[in-house]
Formats: sequence, C-alpha cells, structure tokens
Amino acid sequence: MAQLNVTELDFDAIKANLKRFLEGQTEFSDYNFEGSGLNILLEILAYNTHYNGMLAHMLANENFIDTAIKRESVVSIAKALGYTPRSRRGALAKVNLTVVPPSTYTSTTLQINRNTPFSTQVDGATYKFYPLDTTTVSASTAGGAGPYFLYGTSVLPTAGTKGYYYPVYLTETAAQAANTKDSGSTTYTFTEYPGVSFYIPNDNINEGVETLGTSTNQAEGVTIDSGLSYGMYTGQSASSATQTQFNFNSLAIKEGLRVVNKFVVSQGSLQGPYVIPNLAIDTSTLRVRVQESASDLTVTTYVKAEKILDIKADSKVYFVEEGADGLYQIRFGDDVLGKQLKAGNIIYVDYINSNASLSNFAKTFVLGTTLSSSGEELTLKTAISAYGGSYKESIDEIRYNAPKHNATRDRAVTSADYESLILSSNSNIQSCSVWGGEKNDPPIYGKVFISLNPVVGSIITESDKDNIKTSVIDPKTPVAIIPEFVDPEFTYIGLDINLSYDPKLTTLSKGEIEAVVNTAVTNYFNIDLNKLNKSFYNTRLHDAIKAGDESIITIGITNKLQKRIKPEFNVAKNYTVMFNQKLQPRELTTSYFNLTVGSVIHKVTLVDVPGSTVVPPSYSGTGVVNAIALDGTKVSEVGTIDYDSGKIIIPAIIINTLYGTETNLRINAVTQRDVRDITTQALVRTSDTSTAAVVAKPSRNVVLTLDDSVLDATVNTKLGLKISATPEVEEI
Amino acid sequence: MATNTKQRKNRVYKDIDLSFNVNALSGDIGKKLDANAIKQSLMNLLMIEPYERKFHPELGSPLSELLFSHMTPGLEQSIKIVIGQLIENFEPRVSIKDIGVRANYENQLYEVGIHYLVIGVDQPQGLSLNLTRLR
Repeated sequence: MAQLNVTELDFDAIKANLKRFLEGQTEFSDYNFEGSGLNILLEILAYNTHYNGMLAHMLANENFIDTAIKRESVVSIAKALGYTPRSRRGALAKVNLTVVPPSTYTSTTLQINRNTPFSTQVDGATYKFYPLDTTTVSASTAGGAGPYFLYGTSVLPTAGTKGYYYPVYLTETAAQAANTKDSGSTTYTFTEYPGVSFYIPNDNINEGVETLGTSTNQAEGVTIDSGLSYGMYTGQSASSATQTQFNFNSLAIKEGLRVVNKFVVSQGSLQGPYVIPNLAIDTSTLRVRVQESASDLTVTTYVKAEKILDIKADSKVYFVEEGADGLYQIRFGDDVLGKQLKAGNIIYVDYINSNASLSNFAKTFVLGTTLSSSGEELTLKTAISAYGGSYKESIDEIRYNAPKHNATRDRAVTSADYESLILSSNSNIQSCSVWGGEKNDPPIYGKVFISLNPVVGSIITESDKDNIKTSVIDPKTPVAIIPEFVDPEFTYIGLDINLSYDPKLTTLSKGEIEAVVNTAVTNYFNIDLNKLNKSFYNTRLHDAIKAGDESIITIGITNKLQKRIKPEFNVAKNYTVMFNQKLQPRELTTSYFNLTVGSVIHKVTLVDVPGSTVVPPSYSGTGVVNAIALDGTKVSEVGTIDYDSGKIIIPAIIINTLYGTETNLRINAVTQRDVRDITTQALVRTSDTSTAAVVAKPSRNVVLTLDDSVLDATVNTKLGLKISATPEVEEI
Repeated sequence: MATNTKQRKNRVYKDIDLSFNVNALSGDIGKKLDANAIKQSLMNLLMIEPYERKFHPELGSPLSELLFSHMTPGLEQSIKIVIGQLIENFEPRVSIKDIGVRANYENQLYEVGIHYLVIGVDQPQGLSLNLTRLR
C-alpha cells in the first residue's frame, strides 16, 4: 500500500496523493486521464479535502490573535482580553464664543445646545462640529472704559515685550488715570476693531502683566479670561456703556453629525445587544438614555461601565463592544452586574458619526444659528484648531495594543502601566515619562512623578492633567500613591559637524552636501529625539549622516549644550542649571544681559574659571562663574560650576533686562571630549530657577532637542547647528 | 539457444461507470472497460466547459458557445477543430482518424461522427452524437 501523505493543503498535491494511493490497486486504472469517470471522483475528493483542510487551517489561525486575519476574530480575542477596540474619533477643537445679545434679551443666562452646528472647511469640504454637551453660561459684564488686554508684540510693535499682556482703554481719561510711572497716553488703532481708537498709557511696559488669571494666550492678540472683570472687546464704540455679554470660553466642539437611534426593549432582549447601525460612530460621544415606556416619559441616563468592580445590581450602566460585523453594540445589566431593562423600555442612543482625520487642522469655524435672539453680535475665535480625529483602530493596532492593555490588568502599578494608560487616554500627548519618587534625590516616597510632552501644535491644559489624575490614574492605582505632574524640561543640543567628502563620488556641491547633512540631523532629532525618555547617541547620528550621501568619508561631531531660563527681572533670584554631563572648562558662555551689582547696571556675559585642581585629562573639580563686561573685565563673581555633574549654581543675582528680542537667558556649555552621548537617565532637578531650596529630581522629564540658535553678535548667540564640509583632495 | 519471446499484452482500461449501475452478478459498482471506458471519457470531455473544473480552468472546450451561435457552414469546421484539439490535448489514449460534422438545419443540430483508434486496442472505434443548438 502506498504511503498516504496527509499534510498537503494544495488541491493538485492532494489529487496527486490520491493518484499515488490508487496506484496500489488494480481494480481501476484510468485515474490518470482527465476525461475518465474516476478522475471526476478524484477531483471531488481532492476538492472536498482541500476545502476541509483550508477550513481547519483557518479555524486554527483565527483562534489566535497573532495569526487571525478577520477583524471579527481579532476583536473577539481582544474582547476576551478585556479590550474594546477604539472606534473612529472625530476631530476636537476649542473655540471662544462671545455673544452680545440685543437689548430685548433679558435672561441672565444663555445656553448653547449640543445640537448647535458649527461649520468649517478643510480642503474644500465642509464639516460640521457640535458642542460636546449643552452648556449654559451666566451673563458677564464687559465694556466701559477698560482696561482690555492685548498680548505680545504684534499689536504693540514699538512698546511691549512679547509674552506680556498690556492694558488698553477706550477713553484717554481712563488711560491717563491708569498711568502710574509716566504721563500721557498714545492712541492706537487695530485692524480687528476698525473705527475704534484705543488709548494705551505711555508706560505700558511697566503695566504689562504676564498672566491674566488662569487665561492662556492663543495667539489671537487679545485673550481675556472670564475670571476677570472685563470681557473680550466685541466691537463697541468708545462711548458705549458697560454691556452684557455671554462668554463660552474654550468650548469643546467635535466633528461629525449627531445621530439618534431608538430601540424598544422586548422580553427576549432585556440585556441586548442593541446594534448601533453606523460604522462611523465615535463611541466617546455615546449617550444612552432609557425611557420607561411609550406612556411613561421618565428618562434615565445610563453611563458607560468602565470596570465591573464598581457595578452593583442597580447600577444604571451599559457596556460597549464591537460586534462581529464591525458595528458597535451596547449591552445592559442582568440585575447582578448592572440594572436590567424591562420589556417596553425605550432606549435612545445618540452619538456623533465622524469623518475621522479628514477635518484635523480646521482653523476657522462659523456658527450659523442665533443663540439668544435676532440682532445679537457673535464673536467666534478658535482657541485650539481641530486635532485628534482618527480612524477606528486597525487590526494590526488591536493585535499590538490588546495584549499590552491586558498586561496592565487595567491597573496602574508599574511605570509602564502608567505610560500605557496615560498615552491611550489623551491623543494630545506625544510622549510621557513616569518614575517613582524613590528614584528622586533625595527620595520622595509615596509619589509618582509624571511628565507629559504634548504633540506639536497642541497644549496639555491643567484640566487635562486633572482629568488624567482623577479619571485615568486614581481609579487604577494602589491607595496611598500620589501622582504629581512635572513640567518637561528642555536641553538644547548644538552640534559642530565637520566632515570630509570625496567630490569624485558625488555630483553634489559642497553646499548641497551640507544641506543633505542638515536634513539628516533634523530628521534624526525629529524622529529619534524631541520626546521624553529619549537619549542622544553620537553613533546613531553619525550613521544617519553617513547614510545621507555615499561620498562622505569622515565625520567629526562636537556636542554643545544649551539651557534656556526665563529670568525674573529686577528681583534677586537663585538660578540653578543642570547640564547633567561632564563639562569642558573655560567653555561657558551666555547671551548678554544687564546685571545689577549694587545700584550699578552692567552689560555682562557669564564665563567660568576652573579651580587650580581642575587639570587634564579628567578636568574633575569645581570652578567659579564670573560675570564679565564686554571688554573682558570681571564685574562680579556670581556663582559656582561643578564640571563633573554639569551643575551651575548662581545664587541671588538681579537680572535687569535681556538684549534684542530674547525672552530667555541662553546658557551654553561644551561637553568634555569623552562625552559623546547625552542620556536622560541621570538625576537632575526639574526647574531651572528657584528661590527656594533646590530639590533634585530625575532627568526623566528632560526632552533633548536641536539647538536652533542663530548667530547674533549683538546678543552673543552662536549658531546651534554648524556644518562644514571639506572636499578631500587626493595627493598626486 | 536463447529464446526471444515477445508477448503482446493489450492495455486494459478500467474506469468506473458514471451511470453508477450495479453489476448484477457481483453487486459491485459497474465498470467500463477498454473502448467503452474511452467512449465515456470522450463524452465527458466534450461536455466540459472551460472554468467548469475547480483549479483547472484550461480543461474543456468552447463547444457550448459554438452551439449558441447561428448555424452557418463555417461553424461546422469550427466544431470539428474544437473537438479535434480537445481530444488531442486531454485524451492521449486516442488516435483520431477522422471527425465529421454535418449541419442538420431542419432539426437545428449538428451530427458529429468521430472515428478513432484506441491505443492498445486493434479495432477502430466510432462515436456518433447529435449536438443540438442551445437556444
């Protein structure tokens, strides 16, 4: 009897096996001919075997998340891991909306309904945005003489310093009355407010303030917070009296179309599932309400169940999961885990059907409806452009994320758990670093430190942090662990790159070679750095540059480091800067600034003078930091420098002002020759400036980024990235 | 003295009978032998259309397409060529002597006669069939 091979799945191989099997008998002989009856039977057998083989193979594959191909299989396995794949997400934007109602509107509150559409255009297509929820605000008083506040220098080209808010007034009298250090006022007009004259005190520099309550500037010129007495100017005339207006500040609006589905509960489907018939749903906008019956109009809102530990028998919760057909479905409790529905209940499910990422970066929004009554004045400004729109989680993403989510067991215990939970909770966060307080110096037990780096173009607000703390971390962390947010700190890496190249191996000119290297360096920083928890490795940059063009022969890279601190003017203050690397003596420089010593103001820069014990080759030890004038004479000894730890301490100096358009004092240092990599693992403090005792903390909050300084002799800044290519000339 | 004995052994073709008739004596499934097996095979081949067989789209002939067309004298020749190529390609046990195709316009059919030799069988064989138009 011929050997029977049963491992084949291919139709022809199976048929060949059957023929080989038939060779062992003499009863029939025509199995080799296409037209024979036996051949037809063989084909049926082979087809059947092939079919069953494929089925068995596919069933085995679809049982494991690594090999499953069908989305429904991957989703089903993810469900067993406690993971619900993310649905589409509509882009989110924030707008500041001010409504000045007509005098006929007498109510003291104004409501914007969640069904009020805003529209915008991206690439010629129109998209609708809706408020996340119905919002009601109380009337605030605005107008009168002022002050209003203008931000930055774009509106005050000759007077103000960028980064400050300056008061402006609608009457000259009010402006002069507010003038505390000078006299008189100057008239300004602004294109945003045609036909209106503003009066600004001549000493407006002194009147500028850095912050306005809790308000933040969004580069729109004027931003006034509702916590202040004055609202945003909305086009009044200078003579107008105080008026009533309604401010919807940072109103969150989400892209998509609002949809409502209605389901009637029957006896056979008390728990569901109720399938939501829209593939484009953004499940984060789901709202589920249950009406008692067609005659009893009592409506109860059910909330999404996050974890079963908090759910009681009477908890009004629903569960969301993705179904086999890719549609999301909701289920309800069984009176053990969550309240069970009754037959006759009517479920209203409303949500937003989004266009995913198509409306990201939308900047200009239009509100087409009237909120109070006819004749109102609307001012709509974009606080944050649309961001965060994305398509539903792909099969590969689910395959990657579900096991990791399962590994955290929905608990925040290890730093990786924290990072996973925080990153998945907020799409504004580009990178995140978490470490335990025991790693601080000195250790701070019982605390977890979190540093968040936002994606380019967005900000992480205090409310975002509160939300992460209360909604993401607190419910999942062991008791007695206190999360604390630490701002990311930037270290700027400057590079002197000298390279030689063989001109015979390339058609590029010297300038083009340098441009290629510039691109390679920029890409390296954009891709591998500019994030928390990322270190600079000399060899990787070397490889990236070398890959830029095959004519490059040698590459020499010198690292320079820069820290930027924002000084507080005319106040004695401690400044501590941690470079966290071994520094080369006599290389410290800073941008020019005015230093007050006694009552005399000197234009100075800082330099280091090593102690007598700081000698080659190790250059170990400490030195002093001197302020020197432009002619090189020493003005004062202002601090100390530790060449081993890269720590510079400047206690109690008074900085009077900076030069040029600089808002930060730039402190430059050069690492010692043997320091090639800049890592973020060692310990440093989190703040550059402090008037209190210095508390050392890990440098896990350090973001390494490329020094973009430009050469400016008047300010004493040097080029951050300097590339010099030299053609190698062959000896003849 | 060495003896050179030449034994001639006719090849016996044994195929299953697709009518699945039962052998009255043995109760076993019926068989087709030699020329009958070949005839059954030829009939099967003529009935197969391209893409009909799974994984073997090349098997079969466009006979049914030709039978769908209007009856013209040229079609007789086409049918003859198609049948000839089909047998040549897929039935190596047969050597064709002649294929005759005659259009019967009155009854809207083609009378086909195939005369062939089965390799290993001495007697010439013939297969006659009427191909009716498909409309």
